Amino acid sequence: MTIRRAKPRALVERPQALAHAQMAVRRAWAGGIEDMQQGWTGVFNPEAIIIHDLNGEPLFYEFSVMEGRTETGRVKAAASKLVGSPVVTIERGPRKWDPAKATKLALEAAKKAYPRREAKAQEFVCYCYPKIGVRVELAGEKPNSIIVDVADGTIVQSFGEEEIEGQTAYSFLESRTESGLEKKLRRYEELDREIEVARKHSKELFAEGYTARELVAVRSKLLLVSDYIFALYSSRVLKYGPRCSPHDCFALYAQQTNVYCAVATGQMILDFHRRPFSQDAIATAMGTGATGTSQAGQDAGYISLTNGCMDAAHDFSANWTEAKSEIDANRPLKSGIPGHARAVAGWKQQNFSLIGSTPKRWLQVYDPWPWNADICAGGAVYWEDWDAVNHTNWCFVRNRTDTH
Amino acid sequence: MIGRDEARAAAADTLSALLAAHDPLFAPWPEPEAGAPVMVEDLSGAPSYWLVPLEAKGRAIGAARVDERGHVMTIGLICRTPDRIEACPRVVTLLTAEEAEAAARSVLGPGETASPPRFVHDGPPGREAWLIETSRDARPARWITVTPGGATARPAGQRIGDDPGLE
Repeated sequence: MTIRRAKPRALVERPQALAHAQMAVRRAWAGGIEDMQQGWTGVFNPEAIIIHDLNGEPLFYEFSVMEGRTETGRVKAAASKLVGSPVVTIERGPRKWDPAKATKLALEAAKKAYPRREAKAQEFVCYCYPKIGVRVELAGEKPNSIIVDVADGTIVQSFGEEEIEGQTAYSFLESRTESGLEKKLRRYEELDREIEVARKHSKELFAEGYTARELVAVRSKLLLVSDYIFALYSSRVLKYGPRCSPHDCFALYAQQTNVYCAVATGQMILDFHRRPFSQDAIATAMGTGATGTSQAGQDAGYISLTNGCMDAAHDFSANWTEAKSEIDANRPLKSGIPGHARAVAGWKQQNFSLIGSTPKRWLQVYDPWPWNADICAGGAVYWEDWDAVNHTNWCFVRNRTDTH
Repeated sequence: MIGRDEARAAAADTLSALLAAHDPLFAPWPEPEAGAPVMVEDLSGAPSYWLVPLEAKGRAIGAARVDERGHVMTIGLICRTPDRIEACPRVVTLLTAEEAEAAARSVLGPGETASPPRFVHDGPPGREAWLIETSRDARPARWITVTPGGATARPAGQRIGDDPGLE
């Protein structure tokens, strides 16, 4: 079994942990993080449950977020700077186990297993992250204590992180090397400075709660800008001259007829590569007919219009990583959805999500619809939720790298 | 399908988050507001999603598409710059039903009668247009779709995207 430490090495005081929890949740709400829009603007209960490491050091504070009498969510904040991150998890809904019942269950289990020994419940422990148990102290000979899982009341039997995965207990902190802990401590201290910046510039982050009227006014104040801030989103859009003084660079053109979506998309992409053509010229090269343009025709059109200097190829798997990589390489691409073509010139994704949910992702779409004979008068640019659309294909248009 | 108020609130929430995060797409428009949602139907007439205008200076400068569960599918701009505000549409449908009806009337053939315009997505969500269904001798004749670009007609029942190889 793991060693016991008499004194915590890098304790985070509860008010500081609460401030981190409030800041993480409220900034995510203010920043429009998808899963954080309902149930996260309530009051934080400052009376946290303390969860210890197996070595006895306080490891996490678990704070509840309350809307009236309803527990809408919970936040696990670090109680030790050696954890490295001030906020470890944010979970929706009420706690799935009851602390009082878990303690009672643990004592019953201990008395059943060791009927002649006096048992005393000591503390909640994280015995195999993220699993929680109750440590029960036993009087007399070894074992001195046992751990009982809070969810099912079973006694944890094996110890050591080298054991098979499952119900095995190991210390979250003692399983790390000294240099690893040193790095975590430095990281925590850096993120801790964020709180000081926030206290100066966004005091509203740490309010006990907000009225409905205050919520409307407070939103923009919660998104402070600081050198330390953890960005809620990552994004990238196409740039011109991405080296010294880049600027956003992609132009929207409307499709000139109701069937020229692929043609106008081609015009946007070719213009980006400094190869200007009229839509009629592109339509001719792509073999556009009365009802639209084939994908093979689009490929052939890109190649012929650039005298073979550019390659074009359709990809019918159309996954997120491919589109993101293309934008990261500073190239626009065509996005196909059933019966329609658009250009894509940017991506954005959440850096933050609730346990069990996928971070939201968006593409910046240059849609040539609605059509208009004046290419500067129609079309639209928007962020499109990646999961809201049936993506049928990409068309990658790239400079050829071989001699031809 | 969620109601009009919920759709507007969903769009307003997403818009306010984008503005609070200083999203560059909205940089030219510091204070747009979500307006009155318009229902977009599919070609068969079933409700499909809400189109919520983003309004500034009395114009529809952008739009959000909100699905039946209140999820914002897209949000962005129709008008990219306030420099020529007079060129920005007055309505998120770009044309009013009356304007669409008038445009359709100009392409009606002899003996062809037109139904009232419906605001639809002609193909995948995003390809919004006014649809006027015509009939001749009490039989479906043509579908006329109208956008600011003009009116185009095709045989009734012919759908965009039916041919998977064509875009």
